[in-house]
Amino acid sequence: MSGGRSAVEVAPGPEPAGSPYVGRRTASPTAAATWTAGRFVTVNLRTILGRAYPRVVGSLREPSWIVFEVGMPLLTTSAFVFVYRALQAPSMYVGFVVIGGAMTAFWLNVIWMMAAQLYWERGSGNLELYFTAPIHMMSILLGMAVGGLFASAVRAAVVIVAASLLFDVRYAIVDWALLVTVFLLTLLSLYGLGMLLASLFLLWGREAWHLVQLLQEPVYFLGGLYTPLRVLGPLAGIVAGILPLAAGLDAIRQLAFAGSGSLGFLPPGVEAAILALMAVAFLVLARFALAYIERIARREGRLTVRWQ
Amino acid sequence: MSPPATAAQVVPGSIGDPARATPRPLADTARALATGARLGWAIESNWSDPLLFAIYSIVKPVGAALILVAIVWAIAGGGQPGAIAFLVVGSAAWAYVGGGLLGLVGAILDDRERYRMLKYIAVSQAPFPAFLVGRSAAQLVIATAGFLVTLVMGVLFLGVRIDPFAVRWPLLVMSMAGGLVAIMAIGIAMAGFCLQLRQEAWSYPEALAGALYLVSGTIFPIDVLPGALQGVALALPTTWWLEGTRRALLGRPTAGRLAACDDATVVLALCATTAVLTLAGWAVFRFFERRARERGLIDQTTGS
Repeated sequence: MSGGRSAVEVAPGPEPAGSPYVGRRTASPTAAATWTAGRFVTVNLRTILGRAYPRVVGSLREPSWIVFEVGMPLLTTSAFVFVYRALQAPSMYVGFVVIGGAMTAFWLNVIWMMAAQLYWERGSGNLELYFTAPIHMMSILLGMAVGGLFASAVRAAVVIVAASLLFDVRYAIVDWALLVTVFLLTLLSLYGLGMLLASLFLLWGREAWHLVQLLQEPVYFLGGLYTPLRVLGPLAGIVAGILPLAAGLDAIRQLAFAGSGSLGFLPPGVEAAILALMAVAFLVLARFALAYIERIARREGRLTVRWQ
Repeated sequence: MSPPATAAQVVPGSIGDPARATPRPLADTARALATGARLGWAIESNWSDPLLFAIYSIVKPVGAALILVAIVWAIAGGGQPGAIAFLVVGSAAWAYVGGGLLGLVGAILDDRERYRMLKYIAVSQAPFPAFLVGRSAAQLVIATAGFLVTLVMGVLFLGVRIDPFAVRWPLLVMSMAGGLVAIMAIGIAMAGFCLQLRQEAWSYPEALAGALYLVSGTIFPIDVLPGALQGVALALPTTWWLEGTRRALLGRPTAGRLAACDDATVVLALCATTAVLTLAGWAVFRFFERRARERGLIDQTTGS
């Protein structure tokens, strides 16, 4: 092509000082490839922000999600409230449903926008970019979590406030500090579980989408989203040990409604400890699972497979 | 190179036959439906072995029914068989709404964002809505499996009494037919709307189904709703569809306001509301489809 510079004409040498391709001046290629702890942290923090950015900005650019993801779930929650009213249940159950309805926002965010997201990213061609960039996969997942938390928190808050006003839910907080701790531990373990599931989804094709479908209604039932966990009987013990949503909700309900302890499965302090253990276990497992599954996926050439 | 075929040499029905370019609305619609259905079934079913696929098809609706049964157990301790029968039938039938809406919207988003072939459908001779309806048919088949299994589990394990010899089959067939047409009409309108939206519209059908769930008397009699919402419930075909289905299967009307209507009124109301909704759904889809074509949204991918 006339006018273009051939490879022969380009002399090897340092990029000009103002070049956008030079992140920092280094003495040699070896030095350039050496990462300090500070650089590692900075790059991964930027990764988190970079992955959270399109979620937050995307949701602000297209406000229709407010109607569908905030308004409509409120109606679903209301449906369960009306079931309890039709059965003339004590008013405390209405409060249980409202809190369960709010927590579905986080669960849906974890399974759709985090666990299954790597499957979508592979389809859209982003996954290969993530793996070739000098960043940690957990930073990408954390960025998804942070970005998704924005919409989920709005949705949960609207369900709590609007449904509480509509159905006259009266809260009687037993222990604020423990309530906040349990809530944060629930989120931490939920998103840890999301990261663990995301590693599995690296290997899967359309199974991923179908698995996410299976993680909705059956989990709502087993997690006691609309009923006290105790109703499940002995099954509740197993569920509370593996599903953060179940243990978290059970504790939150007991702490938000004084006198509801008889409907709780375990004391809130014990459930907080279970949640803390789950959070650590899920995050550590996710760390290893991501590395392991990535190796398998690379070996089997699945990281760039699409439309399967 | 062989010389071009003259008109006399063209085999009727072959690719060179100019008659193939003549629109044949009925044949084109049937072919689009069949092609969409075949494609939809392949996409929905060939990701797994048949056993896992069967489990997947039934776990979701059964899980939904169990939530409601657990609610009754929590309050009444299983002492309300009438309430459980009401919930099981409503919950089982609702699988069609979730499946129908998700199938139609999913077809739009899947084919645009993932398989990137929506543009080819849009420029082909195939009627777009017919292809979408066909594409979602697989979801309706899965919903049918969930519906039947939930009813069977209700009969076997939860004390729901459905006698196959006492079922009012004509009423059941009319109710299901009307209900499915209404669900497709809502889904088509929603699919048109989702042509304008980005990938996150995946969750919208479920949200809409949740709203309809509240006002259609799915899991509680509409009498429990505030007055204004009762009016909305009576204007929706889904309310009449569920009422007709319950009467046909359980042999009795829902207690309260709907009990005053006889079966003929239920069918008539279902037909009338479905007709209005179908016309509205068609108009909404056409409006959004035209807008999407004008703005170049048919082939726009929006991964975020």
